[in-house]
Amino acid sequence: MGSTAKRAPAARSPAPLRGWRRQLRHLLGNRLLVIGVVIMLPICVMALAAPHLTPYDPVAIDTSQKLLPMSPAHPFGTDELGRDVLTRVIHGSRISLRVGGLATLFAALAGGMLGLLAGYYRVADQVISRVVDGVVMFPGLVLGIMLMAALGPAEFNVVIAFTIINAPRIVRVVRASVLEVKEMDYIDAARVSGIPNLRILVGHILPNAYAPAAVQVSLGFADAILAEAGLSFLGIGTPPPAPSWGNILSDAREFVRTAPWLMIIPGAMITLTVMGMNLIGDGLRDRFDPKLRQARAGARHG
Amino acid sequence: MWGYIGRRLLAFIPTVLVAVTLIFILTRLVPGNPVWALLGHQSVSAEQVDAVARELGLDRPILIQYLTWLPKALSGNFGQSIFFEKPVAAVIAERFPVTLSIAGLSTLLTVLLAVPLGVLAATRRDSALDHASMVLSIFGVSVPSFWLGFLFILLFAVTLGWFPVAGYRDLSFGFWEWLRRLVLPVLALSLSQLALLMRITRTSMLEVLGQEYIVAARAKGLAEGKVIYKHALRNGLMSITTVVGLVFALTLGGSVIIEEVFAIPGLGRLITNAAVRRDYPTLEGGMAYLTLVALAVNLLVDISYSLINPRVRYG
Repeated sequence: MGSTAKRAPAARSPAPLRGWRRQLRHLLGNRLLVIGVVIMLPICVMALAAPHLTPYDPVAIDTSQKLLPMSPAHPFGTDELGRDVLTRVIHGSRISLRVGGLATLFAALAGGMLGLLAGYYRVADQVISRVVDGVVMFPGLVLGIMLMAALGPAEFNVVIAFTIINAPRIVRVVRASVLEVKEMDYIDAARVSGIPNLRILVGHILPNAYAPAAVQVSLGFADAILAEAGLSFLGIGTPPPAPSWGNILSDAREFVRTAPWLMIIPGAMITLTVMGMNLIGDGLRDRFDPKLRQARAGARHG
Repeated sequence: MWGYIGRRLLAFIPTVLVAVTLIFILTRLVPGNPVWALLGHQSVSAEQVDAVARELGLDRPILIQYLTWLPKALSGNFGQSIFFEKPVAAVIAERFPVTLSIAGLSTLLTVLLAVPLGVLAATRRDSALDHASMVLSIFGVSVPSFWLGFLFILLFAVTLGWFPVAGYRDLSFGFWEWLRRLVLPVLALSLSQLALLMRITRTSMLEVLGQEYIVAARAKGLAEGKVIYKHALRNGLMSITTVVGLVFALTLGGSVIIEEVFAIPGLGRLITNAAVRRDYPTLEGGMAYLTLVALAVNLLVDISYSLINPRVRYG
């Protein structure tokens, strides 16, 4: 590392940072990724700052103000219970990102761990892979409905449902990466030098699985947001009156003729957010490995 | 080849078993007593609840319940629907053709549009058309189908009046009456699958076009059209066929939500309503049928793939 540091122009900055900077320049050259981040940043800020952005309460009912069209006071109008639609959409971003984020986090943790075990230990693989094959068999949304029926409608249950739906994809990706590097010489070397299995797994094998898993995680995030909206729309996701985007759309369906503005904005927000996450996923995939293209289609839906 | 088909059919048996078993486990995970759903939360005595539970066999150990349930489920008998008060199989039989119409038309439309568009995008790489198809596919996988359905209703049904707002009529009302009501739901449902298949077609064509035999075909002076449609497309289509089963499965899953938007009485809506009403026999039956049909179509696609592609027969 010392010799490369001397040759590089920014010799004084510590090596990790230099690597980090080079990474960043690479990432900035990736158009899909940059567009995705540009879309997602304001949405994240909106979610964080939601209560400070609007003067209205997202759930307080005021029937004297019901179904107002667009106006300066209510840029997107009000719904059938007199709630400001813009306020509900802004607060809805919190629910969508929270549900999508938590489900993705849990799926990444559980899927990563199970994938490592399945790839490294043949016995564990027998069990884990069979279960994964079983879960992947169901069309995603149908499994979601089934799980929500079993768990009951609550925001955290949506998180659990999508953890179960998303984790298998991550298990498959991580397992595949582990199988790929497991037989390599440096792993044998580590084993021979008496390093315990756990440290080999975490220290030497996991870093190889990181890139493809990151792609899968961001695509899973996008899918979770889309599916949360879908389940709420069907009335079995985040329970009303919480202003989830799916709930807003579900309420708006009766007013397609009389108050179409009720549905246009929340739907557009879902599309934009999901697109942002998909672009980040696509961008990461291009960045890490162009060959993953094919693998994704299979891993995502197969 | 027959060996391959036989092996695939054999492997299908455990798959079905696992699917049906998972459905059983999921519905038994329900907190609380399913008898309450059946009795509709009326004020009933504990004895009555016990009586109903005994009648349904819910008082027996879970393993015994499973062992009596499984053979019935495998023969398509999921018991009596709590809400409809008739056999689940009969309820499903009414709804199934509806969902099949939607999923079938949607898959057909997807394949007819996505394959030519994907081929065009691949052959005119980095052209305006290629970029437009890229944008369309990113948009397509991101837009919620149910929202798209609403936009279509707003534009084509409410504003322009070209199609009915919602509803379904079966073929006994005539082909046009049937088709008219399916146009908007099928369009709304197809976009995301269209986007997916278009990209897969493009990638798979690009891969084939990069191979040496294509270079050779060009080098010997073959017209570009012939190179693409006679040499490249045949091999490109090979890997695309495997995705058709996947597209069909996705459409089946997607129809659940699109049926709700357009108030179409299909299997998907049956499942959603059964989940909301906690009508567990119907939920189990609906899930099982939907999943098994998706699995069976996948199996058929795999088998027909082995018929088209001689290389698989050895695998």
